[in-house]
Order: sequence, then structure tokens, then C-alpha cells
Amino acid sequence: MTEKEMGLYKLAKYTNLEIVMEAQVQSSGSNQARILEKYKKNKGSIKQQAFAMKIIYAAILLFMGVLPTISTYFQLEFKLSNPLVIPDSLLIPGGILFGSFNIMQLLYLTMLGMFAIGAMMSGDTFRWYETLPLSKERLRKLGFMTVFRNLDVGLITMILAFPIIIFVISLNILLALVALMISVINVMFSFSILVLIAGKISSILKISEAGSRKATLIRIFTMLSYMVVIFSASFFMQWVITAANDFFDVMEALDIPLIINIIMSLIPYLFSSGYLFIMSMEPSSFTPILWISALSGVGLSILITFFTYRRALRAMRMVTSSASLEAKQSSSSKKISEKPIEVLIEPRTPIKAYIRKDLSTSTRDIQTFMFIIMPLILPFMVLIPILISPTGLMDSFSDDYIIVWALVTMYQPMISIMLTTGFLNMEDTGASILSSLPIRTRDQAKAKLLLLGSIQTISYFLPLIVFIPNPDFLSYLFSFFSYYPVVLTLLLSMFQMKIRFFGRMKYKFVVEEFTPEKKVTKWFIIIVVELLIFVAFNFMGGILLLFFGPSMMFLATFFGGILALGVLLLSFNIMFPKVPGKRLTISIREIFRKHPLFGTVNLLVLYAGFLFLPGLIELPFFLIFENLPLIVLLFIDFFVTFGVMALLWLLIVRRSLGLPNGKESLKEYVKTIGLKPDRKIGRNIFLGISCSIIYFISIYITGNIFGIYIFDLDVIFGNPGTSISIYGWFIFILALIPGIWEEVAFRGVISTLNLRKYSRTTVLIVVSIIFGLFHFINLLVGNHLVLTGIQVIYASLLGFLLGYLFIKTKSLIPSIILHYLIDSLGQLFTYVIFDSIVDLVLFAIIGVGIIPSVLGVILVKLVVKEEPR
Amino acid sequence: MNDNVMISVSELKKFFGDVKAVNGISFDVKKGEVFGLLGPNGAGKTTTIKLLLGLLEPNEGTIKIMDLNPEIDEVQIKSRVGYVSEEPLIFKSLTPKDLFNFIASIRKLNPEETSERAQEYLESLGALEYYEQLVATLSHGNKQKIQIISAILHDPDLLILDEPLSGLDAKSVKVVKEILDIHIENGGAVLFSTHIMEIAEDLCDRIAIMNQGRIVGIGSMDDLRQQADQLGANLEDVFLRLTEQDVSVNEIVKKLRKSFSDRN
Ligand SMILES: Nc1ncnc2c1ncn2[C@@H]1O[C@H](COP(=O)(O)OP(=O)(O)O)[C@@H](O)[C@H]1O
Ligand SMILES: [Mg+2]
Repeated sequence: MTEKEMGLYKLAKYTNLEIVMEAQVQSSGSNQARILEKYKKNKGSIKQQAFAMKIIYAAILLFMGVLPTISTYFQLEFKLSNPLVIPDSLLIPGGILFGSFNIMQLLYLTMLGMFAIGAMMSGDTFRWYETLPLSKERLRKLGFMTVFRNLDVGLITMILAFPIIIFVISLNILLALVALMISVINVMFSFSILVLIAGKISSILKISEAGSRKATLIRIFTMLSYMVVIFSASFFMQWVITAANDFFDVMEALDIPLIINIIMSLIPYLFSSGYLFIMSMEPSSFTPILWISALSGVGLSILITFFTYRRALRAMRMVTSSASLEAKQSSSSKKISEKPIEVLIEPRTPIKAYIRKDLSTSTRDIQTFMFIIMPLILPFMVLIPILISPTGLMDSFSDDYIIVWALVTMYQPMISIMLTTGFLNMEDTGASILSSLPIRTRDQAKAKLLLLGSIQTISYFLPLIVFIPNPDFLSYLFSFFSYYPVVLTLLLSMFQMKIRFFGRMKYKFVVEEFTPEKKVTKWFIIIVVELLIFVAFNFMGGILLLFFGPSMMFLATFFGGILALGVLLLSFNIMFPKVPGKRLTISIREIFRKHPLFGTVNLLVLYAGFLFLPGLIELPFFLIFENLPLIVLLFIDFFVTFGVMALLWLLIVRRSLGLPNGKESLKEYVKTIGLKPDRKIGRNIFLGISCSIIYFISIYITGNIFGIYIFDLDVIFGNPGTSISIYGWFIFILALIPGIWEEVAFRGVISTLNLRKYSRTTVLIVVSIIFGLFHFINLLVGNHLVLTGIQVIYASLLGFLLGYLFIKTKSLIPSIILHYLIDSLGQLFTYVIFDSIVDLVLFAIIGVGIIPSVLGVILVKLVVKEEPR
Repeated sequence: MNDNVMISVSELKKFFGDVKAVNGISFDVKKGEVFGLLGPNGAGKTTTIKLLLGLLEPNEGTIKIMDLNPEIDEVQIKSRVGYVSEEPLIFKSLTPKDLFNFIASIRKLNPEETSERAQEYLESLGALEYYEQLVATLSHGNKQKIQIISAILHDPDLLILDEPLSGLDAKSVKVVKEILDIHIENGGAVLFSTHIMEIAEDLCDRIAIMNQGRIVGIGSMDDLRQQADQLGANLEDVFLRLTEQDVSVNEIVKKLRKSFSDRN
């Protein structure tokens, strides 16, 4: 670079920062003042932001663009070291592979670059530079430099990563230098193409043409065709790369006529660089003629790159010269004035009008347009590297549709977040014409949701087209369809959370940002909750898949999604009532309280989700420290599980859900669910212990009747992992979890909640059955179906006694004691060997279930004298 | 409540943190009158207007627009009100054509009638040639014209205009005045804000002078002249006195003169 150019490069820094800042301020809507405030306080933050963006781009380009080439290098290396392989035969497949990688790099750069420089290309920044005494030529270069600066870290990574990695692997300086040259050519070329394309797009977006419907159509069509070109190119490349891998094997024994190789190596950009690189790996194995032709090919590439660069510079003039832009504009407006303008207004329904407005706004503004385009590109960006990965992931799995499904679900929360932020920030309260129009927020929200839902739906199902030729297409279709309710759930929950946090007014919710305070905290919560919803579904799915196979997983995600969707639609109707005007008092919490069974179902889903949470939290930990002794693992698991349960029942249920009796302080809540010791504490402890004794005696006797009871203290006092039971004495600690939290859940919260509406008998029976059925969840951790079925029966029966204790004494203490002792000390009495399954069933139902419940209930009836209410 | 009262505000307060943007104001606007909110920048005019439209929530006080509460019946109110906001932030990426179509759809207007009206207004304000250009490419004044047309397309009962004449050329100002006159003749009411005394003097039947969130004087021109002890002064002096700016303004003017002559 000359000194002059260095100066321009430095100058470009300011334009680049200006662009990043402009994009920030533009997208912040009503919060512009706040953003500006932030910049006032921290002058460096804009620079940090610009830098962070660069690093992200660099990482994407490195992983998706450069790393695949390295694996090809290893493949070539391997083949070249094999004396049976004719080196010449490697040139065609190798050349094609490298050529394909070049094109892939170009595609990635274009996709990223278009997003990054869209803002800059709209050109306003340069209007100002134009007023400075800079020549046209320098102004043009300045534009180029600015685009370059925006992507510089990424570009430099792309240029350097390949040669450096090659050097480190091969320690061959010549090879590294060739690699460097190839990289430089490729990146320069790709970059110039990017500038050309971006220039084209921005000029389409910029110029207003007559007949806005036609203009919109043209715009959408052009943008789509770019996308189609990029996609189809990606697919073609994917196909080529897969095919070329097979090529290696097919061709390695073939004798390729030299002339073909010479012609191929002369083809610039596509093949020549690959040829040169492969030849440099084993220079002596190839004839000088081939060297000459390959070098000429590379020379040609350099020439082409140079001319493309020149063209890109010229295209820059479009942007940097407002004169040319205005010339275009005035020519188009002249066209208008030739024919008389006739004002013709055609009203539509408000929702339609609203969608139309959003659509035409977003197709004219590149930033918002990206919010539409990214969801359509993302699936392919994620899928392509997998599809083309040389290890052939797709071939080695028989259930590859599950992998694709998993991948596609993975980025759904991201798309929801992106769409919601993009489309909800499009206008802001009070500063737009909307504020003057009698728009019902319900219509507005519906319109937005329709639009967002359509985009996300298309984005979600789009990858399916790749698999249409696949014989397993129906499995793909089915797997995608089963998760669709979850996708909508993710979008709807994101949408509602955004509005709940940012659009709350006294009497209504508004789509625009009304309360922008504490933005970071709010966003943090929103995103965490969104990810939790996602993790809950996918983790549940994963476990079901592991134990029951795909059908079960798909059924569960489908119905789980439908349920969640139901809740969200309900909450949508509350947020945006058909008849507006009531003060916002009724809430989802109230619905749960008014319809306790509905609340119960939701509580159970939440409970089940939280039961799996500890595993998720511990998984990475256990992977890192794999050699910990069992007892340590047990303790960690205990504390995590206990903590998670406390979080759920003491915080989330109490505060967020306001169950069972509305939002309460911890003190009130503890009293409500009967955890607080009352005057009758002595009697309550006595009841808990005596019911336990009844239980022990019952199972001891019936155990001896139906089977052979074995007395072995090791069951409860042995060391964990060594004795007959894996828990040993640890069971006394472990049993605290079901002892306390299942009681809090089923008796303290769920029973209390249902008692608000139903009679005591109904609640007692229904909750006992629910409690029993809930044990089906043990299937998920791999328990035997029949055994679990039996467990469900006796748990329902015992649940009746536990519930009776709670309802009669209005305290959780007795049932906690009973539950705890059954799960811990009770193990000592359940070491029974049966001859047949019938004996086992009889023992479980009569001995464990019926007898203790009946006797227990009688005891409670005798002891507890009910105070008149 | 009196049928003739279009806007009724009492003891209205709105604070932004420590800033008391509106600090206990009361006034009525009646049918058939042009009511002006006059005050220097930052007096609280825009905030008041946004409160009237339910775009902000008051800390205290009550507002009735045609007997409706803007916090609750916002939609009903807006269907009878035309509002021109301070910044002409109509959607930049739409053309006036898209915009009018949008408004007509939302307000469910009659297509023929509205087309006719729009054509008429565009012609008389000299904005017809911009009908199919992106709003972003229009000048400030032209944006303002489009916004004003948007606000009167549905023939509202009440017009609320926030600094409507800023950026308009002399001819357009005249046209807008005309539009206001016709509107009043048809029994409508107008509330508008300005920081320019001449405009207020010229257009308004009654004026409330605002300063620092309070109304410091209210009434017709004559009332206001009485309130000021300098009888016979023009409204500019009254305005400066009421906002207690006469001393400081003189100071500033003096300084300006000095710096100008120093350089020459
Ligand atoms: N959204 C807001 N947040 C904080 N302060 C505001 C906001 N809007 C207005 N203000 C402040 O309220 C005061 C009144 O503003 P405004 O009503 O716009 O005055 P006017 O329209 O008379 O020029 C000003 O001091 C302004 O800074
Ligand atoms: Mg103002």
C-alpha cells in the first residue's frame, strides 16, 4: 500500500465506526437517546462493538470457510504417500475440491458481507465526505477501504489461516507460500464480488421507482433471485464436494491423459490454484509442462482478480457519489411527472394493511430486510457444513433425519429472537404516524404475529426441500411437523415476553417499546427464559429418544408444544382483549387459580421439566471431572437437585406463578402450604411416625406372606455403591428430596390449589391419582414398564393417605415424615424375593398400598378432632 | 359535562424522573375554537399533547377528550382526532401513496371520497408530485405536508397539531390556515402548539402560555394583555414577560451583537 492509501485506510476507520454507530442508533427506535447517552458515558463502547462484530465474522469465516480445506489436505497427503496412487490422478478431484472450497468461501463472505455492509452502502456517510476536498478517485478508494475495514479481521483470518495451518502441519515453507498466494487471490476476488453484489442490492433498495407495487415486486424478486443463486450454488457445491470425495477413490488408479490436466490447470480461479497447491505438495512428481500451465492459470486468476477489483472500485463510485444517485432519482421522478398522477385509494382490512406496511417497509430497508432474509439463509448455513463434511456424517447414521431435525431445531430460538427484535422495533410510540391512528393493539399484534409466524414457518420447513429426493422423506416430514408446535411456542413466547417487558401500560399492552428501562436485565431474562423453554423441550425429547425411540419423542414434543401453545394463546387473549379498556388485572396466574386442574397440568409439566434440569446442569461438570468418587457425585447431585426444587417451589411457583393462593411473601407461602409448624406439632409428628410404623408392619407381614423377606442391614447402612442397594446409607439423605418436595408439590401446592374450587373428597381422590400417575415419569429414566405400572397403583393408594394427612391436619409435617420414612427406612423392609409376578403385584397393591392406607386413614380419623370451621 | 367541551384537562402532571415536564395544568378546549399552547422549547407542550392522545400515562390528574379517557378509550378517541406529531416521523420507507392506503385501511375510510380528498389536499399544498416517492427522500416541509394531510384525511372532529407549521413555506402556511378555518367553520376544534408568538397571535382564539410544565397565563389575546401589566404591548413582550425571559434574552442579544462586531 502506498502512503496515500495508508492514509485512506486510517480515514476509513471513522466511516466504519460511523456506520456501526448509525446502525445501532437506527435500530434502537425510541431508545436513541439512551444509546447516545451510553456513548456519551463510554466513548470506547462503539469501538468495542465494532471489534466484537469483526471477531464473530472472523470465527464464522474460519470455521466454515477455511477449516474444510484442511481436511482435504490430509486426504491428499494420505493418498500422495501411497506409492500405488498415481499423483496425476489426484489432480482432477483435488482441483475440483479446492475450486469448490473457493466458491464456498465466496458464498460465505457474500452472505456475511451483505449483512455487514448493507448499512454502509446506503451511502449517507459519504455525502459528508464529499463536501471535503477529496478527489473522486480517493473517495472511491475510501469506500472500498471502509467495506474492507468492516470485515478486515475476517478477511485477514481467511488470508492467513490457510497458509499458517498448512505450514504448521507440513513445515513446508514453499507449500505455505503457495497457500498464501492462493488465499490472497481468493479473498481479494471474493471481496470484490461482494462489493459488486452489495452495490447492486443497495441501489435497488435505494431508488424509488414509479408504481410502488411493481417496484416492490421487482425488489422482492431481485433479492430472492440473489438468494436462489446463493442457495443453488451451495447445493451444487455440496454435491460436487461429496462427489469429489468418491472421485479420489475412483480416479486414483486411472491414468489421466496429460492434456486434460493441462487444460484444467489453465482454468483460472476454479482449478488452477488447487492444481498448483497439490503439485507443490510433491513438486518432483509432476512434469514441468504441468507446472507451467498451472502457473499460467494462477497468473490468469491474478489478472481476473485485479480486474474484478477495479470493477468493484468503480461500483463504489455509485455509492460515494451522491450526484449519480440523484441523477437516477431525478430521471425516475421525471418519468412520473410525464403522466398525470391520479390518487386512488383502496382500503383493506386493518390487519392486511398492517402486514402490507411491514412488508414493504422491510423490503425497502436493508436492515429490516435482513431480518427476513437471515431466517431463510440460516438453515442452509447450518446444514451445508454438515451435509458436505468429508467424514460423511450423513452416510454413517441410519437415522440421519434425527440429526437434521436436531440441527434445525437448534437455531429456532435464535430465529424467534431475531424476528421479534427486528419487527417489534420497527416503529416507536409517539414518534410515528401510528400514534395518531385508531389501531387496536390486538389487530396490530395479530398482524405482526402472522407475519413473523409465516417467516419462521417458511424458515423452519425450508430445509425439507433438500430431502425431497430422499427415500426417507416422510420421516423427515414427520419429524419436522411434530416439532412445529414447539417452534410456534418459541416465537409466541418471545413475542409476548418482549411486549410484557417493554410494552406495559396501565390499561393495556402496546407493541412498541413503552418502558425501555433496565433494558439489559430485561433482555437477559427474556433470552434465558426463551432458552429454558427450548432446552426443556429438547432435553425431554432427547431423553425420550434415548429410551423409547423417535416416535415417542415426536409425540411428546408435538403434544407438549400444543399444550404450551394453548397457554400462550390464552395469555395472548388476556394481553390483547377483544374488548379493550379493562384495567390490566386479570392474568395468566388468575387463570391458573380459577381453573385449578389446568393450573395443575401446567405445574406438572413444569415439575417434570425441572426434574431433568439437574442432569443438564451437572452434565458438563461430570464430563470435566470424570474420576470423582461415587459419594461425591451423589452429594453434588443431591445439592443441585435440592436447590433446583427449592427454586421451583419456593420461588418460581410462589412468585412467578402466584400459586396456590396468589403472590405471597415467603412467610405467608410457607404457612399456606402447611410447612410452618403449628401448635399441634407434637401430634403431627406422632401421626407421621405412627403411620410409618403401620406401613413397616404391613409390608413386613405381607412380604413374608407373598414372598421371602430378607433382612439385611446393608440395604440401608452399607456404603454407597458396594452394598445390595446402590445408595446404602446415602438413602437417608437422598430421601429428603422426594420426602419434602413431592409433598410440597402434591399436597402443599396442588391440593391447596384444587381445594379452592373442589370439595375435599374430590381433591383427595383426584390428586392421589395424579400423584400416582406422575410416577410414570420414572419410565423416562429407564424403569421397567410393568414395575412402574405397579408403582403407579400403590403410589396412588399411599397418595390417598398422604393427602388425607395433609387435609385433616392442615400441615405438611406428618406427610413429609411418612413419605421420608417410606423412601428411606422403608427400603429395609422391601428386600423381598417373589416366586412370581402375581405375588409381587399382590404384595405391592395390598401390602404397600391398601393396608397402610386404610389403617392410616382410620388412625388419623381417631386422632384428629376437626375444629369447627 | 358540557357538550361543547372537546378537551378537558385538570391538574395534569407528568414527570420523567426528576424532570417535571408537565406540572399541574388545567384547561378546556371548546367546539369551534382554535386553542394554542404557546411556550419556549422544553416547556412541556409535546408532553401534554402526547398525554392527550394516550401515548404517555399521566402521573396525576385527569384528561377527558370528548368525554373519553385517553388511557382507556384511545382507539375511539383516535378515530375522531387528527394528530400531527412534532417530528415528521411518518414511515420513511413508504411512499405517500402507501401511507394513505394504509391510513384508509386502518380507519376504514370510503375509497372514492378519500381519494378525492387526498387529491385535493395534495394539489392545494403542492405535494402531488411527491405522491409516489419515498418519504425518506422528501424535504422536511414536504414531509410535514404529507403528515398534515394524513391527519385530516378522515375529517376529524378535533385536530391536535404539534408545531404544525414548522418547515412549511409561506404558501403552504396559508393553505394550512385555510384548512384550519374550514375545519372550525364545520364545528371542529383545534389544539395546537407552537413556540412562535406571531403564529399563535395570528391563529388562535385562546392561548395558554406554558413554561416549565406550568400554565403561566391563559385566555384570549385581550385577557393575556390584561394579565401582563404592560398594557398595549404586543404579544411578544407579553410572552417574554410571562416566561420571565426578558432579562436573559436581552443579555443574549447583547452578547451576540458584541461577538459579531468583534469579528468585523
Ligand atoms: N421521554 C422523555 N424522557 C425524559 N424527559 C423527557 C421526555 N420527553 C420530554 N422530556 C423532557 O420534558 C420536558 C418537556 O419536553 P417537551 O414536552 O418536549 O417540550 P416542548 O414540546 O414544549 O418543547 C423537557 O425538559 C424534555 O427534556
Ligand atoms: Mg415540542
